Amino acid sequence: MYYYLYDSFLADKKYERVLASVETRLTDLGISGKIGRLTAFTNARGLIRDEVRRGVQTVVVVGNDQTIAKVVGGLDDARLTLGFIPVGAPVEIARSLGIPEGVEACDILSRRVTQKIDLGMVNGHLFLSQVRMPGANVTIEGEGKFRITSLANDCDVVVSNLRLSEGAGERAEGSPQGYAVGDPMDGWLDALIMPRQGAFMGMFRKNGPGSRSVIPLRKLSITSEEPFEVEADGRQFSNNVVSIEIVPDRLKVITGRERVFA
Amino acid sequence: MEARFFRFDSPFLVVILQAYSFLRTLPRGRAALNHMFQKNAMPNREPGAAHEPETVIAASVKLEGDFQSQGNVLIEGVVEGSLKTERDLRVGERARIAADVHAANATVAGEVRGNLVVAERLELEPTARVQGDVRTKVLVVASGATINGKISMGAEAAAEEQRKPRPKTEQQPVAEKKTEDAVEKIMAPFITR
Repeated sequence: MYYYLYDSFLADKKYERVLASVETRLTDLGISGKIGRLTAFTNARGLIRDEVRRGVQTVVVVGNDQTIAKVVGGLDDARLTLGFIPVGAPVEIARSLGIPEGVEACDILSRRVTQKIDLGMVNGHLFLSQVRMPGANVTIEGEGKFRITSLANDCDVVVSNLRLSEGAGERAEGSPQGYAVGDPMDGWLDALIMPRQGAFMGMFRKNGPGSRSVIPLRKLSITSEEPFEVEADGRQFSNNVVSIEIVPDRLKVITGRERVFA
Repeated sequence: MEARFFRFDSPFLVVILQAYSFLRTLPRGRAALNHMFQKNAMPNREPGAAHEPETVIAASVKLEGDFQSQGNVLIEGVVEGSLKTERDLRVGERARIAADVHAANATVAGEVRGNLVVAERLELEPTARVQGDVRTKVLVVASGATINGKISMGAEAAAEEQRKPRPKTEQQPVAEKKTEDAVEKIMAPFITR
């Protein structure tokens, strides 16, 4: 039994055509189901909880990366299978899972190739891909056994569970070329630390792979004297203490052949 | 193309061979030729080198405490405390380590102040500076490397480190202390101070 959760921005007229094609294709494939919509008055947690009580086992997220973040963040203890139909932008998470945009995603959905992947937890909230802390002067404590500090003034810190696909523009630069950073099936998070360059030097020299640190961790906490900006799967907040840990084998997802992990 | 272009005395073939020889002398030319003929351009890895490291501590980062890894490790920054990996370790030229180091194989090009215990092969490059004891099965020291400490080599030396008894903690077990206190209580009337 499938439950389709549409994001609120899909109410825009420009998405009418693609949504109509998607719904037709789902009907042809025999996997159509009930549709729910995220609005200012409804949230993913409540909708999913109600549908799980009714016996739904597969929830399909229709929207972009922020829609996925809203749904994953609202999973709580629910054990279900998650599918995606990427519509809109950005759709880097779905691309990393090997799911093409629009109507083609319906065929991936019908094949139902599932993988059990890890999720991350940041300050009690689940996330699927990455937690980014740009330009932070922070101290990282890993596994309660060691401490990492940057000798540069400011650095970008990215804690990655799922490597975003290459060619995804600016976000892909967080994954250093040549390193497998962020495998959602290995039971580890990968912490990347990259020194920040000023706007002037950044024009002439980009951070090469040699300036990036990569540390696999299961649990870490990031602290700073002053609050710093945090972005987790597109959701932004600010704090001066951030605790992140891996939640292994937490979620079953429907993936495509072009996914970035094995 | 006509067959006469491919005769041994053909000027066309001579020009091609000369161009190939010239390109081979240039670093970029070699890479381009390798790519053209789809050869593997990756250099042969020396045993003991940390290839495809899973952990990288870059030059701008300092790590303090007990760090343990199950994969290959590359250190270019500063490490203080202890460093242990079950696989290969590479210490870069700019790295400064003030820690006891344990690894399966290691290649050192930087500074290590602490004991180095390497189960298989330890290679010290010309810029390596080691201040501490070294235990390894196979040791390779390049001209220019410096070691100040005791060196133990061979399979025995590497195995001996694993057989070493763990140091006892100074804190007395609780059960022993209770027995001692009880004995003291019983003997107290008979002890004259």
